[in-house]
Amino acid sequence: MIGPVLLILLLLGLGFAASLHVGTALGLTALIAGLIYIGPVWDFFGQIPWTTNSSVTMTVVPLFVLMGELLLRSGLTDDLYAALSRLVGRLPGGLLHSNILASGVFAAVSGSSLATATTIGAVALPTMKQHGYNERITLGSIAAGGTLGILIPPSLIMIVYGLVAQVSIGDLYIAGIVPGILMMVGFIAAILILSLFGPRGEQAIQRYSLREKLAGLVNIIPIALLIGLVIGTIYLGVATATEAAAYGATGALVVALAKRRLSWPMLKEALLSTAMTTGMILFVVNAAFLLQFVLSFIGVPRALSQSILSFGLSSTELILVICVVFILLGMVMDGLPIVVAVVPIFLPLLQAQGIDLVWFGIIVVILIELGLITPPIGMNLFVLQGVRHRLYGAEAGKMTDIVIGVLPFIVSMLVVLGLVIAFPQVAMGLVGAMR
Amino acid sequence: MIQATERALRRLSEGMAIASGLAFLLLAIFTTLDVTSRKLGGPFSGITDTLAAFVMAFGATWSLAQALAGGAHVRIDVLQSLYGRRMTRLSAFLALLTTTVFSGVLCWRAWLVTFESWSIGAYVPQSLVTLRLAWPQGVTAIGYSALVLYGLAALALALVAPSPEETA
Repeated sequence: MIGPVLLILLLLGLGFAASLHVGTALGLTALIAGLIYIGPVWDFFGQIPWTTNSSVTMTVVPLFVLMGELLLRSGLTDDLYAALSRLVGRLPGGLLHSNILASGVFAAVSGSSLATATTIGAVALPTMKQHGYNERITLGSIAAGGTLGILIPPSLIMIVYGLVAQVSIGDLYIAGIVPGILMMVGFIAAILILSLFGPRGEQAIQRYSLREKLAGLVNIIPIALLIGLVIGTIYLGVATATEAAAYGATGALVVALAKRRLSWPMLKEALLSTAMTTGMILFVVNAAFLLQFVLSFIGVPRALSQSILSFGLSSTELILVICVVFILLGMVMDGLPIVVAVVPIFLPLLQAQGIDLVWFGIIVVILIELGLITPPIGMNLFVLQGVRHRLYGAEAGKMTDIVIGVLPFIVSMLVVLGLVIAFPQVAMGLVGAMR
Repeated sequence: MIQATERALRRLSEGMAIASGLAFLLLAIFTTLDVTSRKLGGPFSGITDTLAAFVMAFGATWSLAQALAGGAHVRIDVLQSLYGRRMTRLSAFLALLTTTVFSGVLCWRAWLVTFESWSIGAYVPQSLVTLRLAWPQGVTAIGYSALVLYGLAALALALVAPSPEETA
């Protein structure tokens, strides 16, 4: 067994070192390892992609992406940030809370952490700078807020995890709600503590009357209703995840139409972006399924399960070991490759231990969130630094500012992770009620 | 000549991607109307799942070439920051080359699956729609073919006018 494992690790390592496309690195590894250790596996490279591409379950990917793309182009971000700033701008921590809340709501639309960090960063950074907020904490709040994109439904990483682990995407979405809200609360608590004991110097923002605050909220009512419709129909069992995604995309089209933002150039951009993201994800998922097939055929997951089981670890110890592995991987790898390449290896082991794969999915997503903001390879850190460069050019500070700024939020994240592990009901309570 | 071919294929890829995006949008509208009508006790088509499967088979591959042209395919860039300019370009070229090779394998097998389905006269299973399975499979294979063609053109362009990091 050691031979195939070493070859697969070597091929993946070479692929990653050479910066190949994720799907290609996985697919070619599956092909080479399959040809050497199984025999002529060519037929599977026709059948598995066809079965995957024509799967009805897969339609959640383009439909949720389309919903996000249409809403993003409907002027959501500006309305959202302005409305939330009016609401929480005068609390201790002020606009920093807007960053977290806007990220949370935006996450529920986009499903992507990078999109959340980029968009909220572009809107929030100039405003925060103008009001004299501490730059490091500002950057930390945006980078951390961005990670909510993969925990709060509809998360693309959850969809991919659901497909790989063969668990209900609807269950994953419902399980992500409470940890997502807890994560937002954790981030807000970190901001409150920092603003009470840390450096200050920001100017208070303008005071708004209750009437003005409510007027700001009117602009985001359609989006709130749409998010409620999508998550509510899944939770109430009225619609499957696929049907809810269709409602979401159609509703987003109606919102764009009502806000008079719908035009052919806008629609064309949204359609193009949806198609490209879908193509990319399906390419990676196809390759991951091919590698999963080869790994299973060779017997790698079973052998790994047996060797780890021989240590006699309890379920909690096993989860903690896996957490350490994922945190280390998250420091050097992006979330998508971890889910598609690493999760399948642990699945038989988790099933043998009777661990709920929906609960484990939420743990995986939080671990990937951590990976997004932990150096050296934290994608949100890079993305935010990119936004700074775009906004300020040569005057943009160093990435160290973001790394330091994000540290308090990492602590919050670890606390929420600990809660989800120690009390599975935090994630599974709503799922149980739904079932 | 190579540049003109690459530009033409890029336009074709964009058109195919817009078509697949449009198919997703129409699927969303159709599903919304059909499911809502069914939930309210009204008429429904009974072909939502079949249609969704067809749209996915079409959209998942017809957008691949544009994803490659637009740099949407995710790369593992762990060591990129350590590489110099030449190494960065080499890795971009390698990424393009290997993706074209892997896509070639997928394309070849997709056409074989299509021809096999056609030769045995297979029909779309468990569906109210009577349609030979080879049709949606052929549509999928066309998407892979466009990806391979674009990959080859981009490779040729990278060799004659090297700026491969833009295309990979």
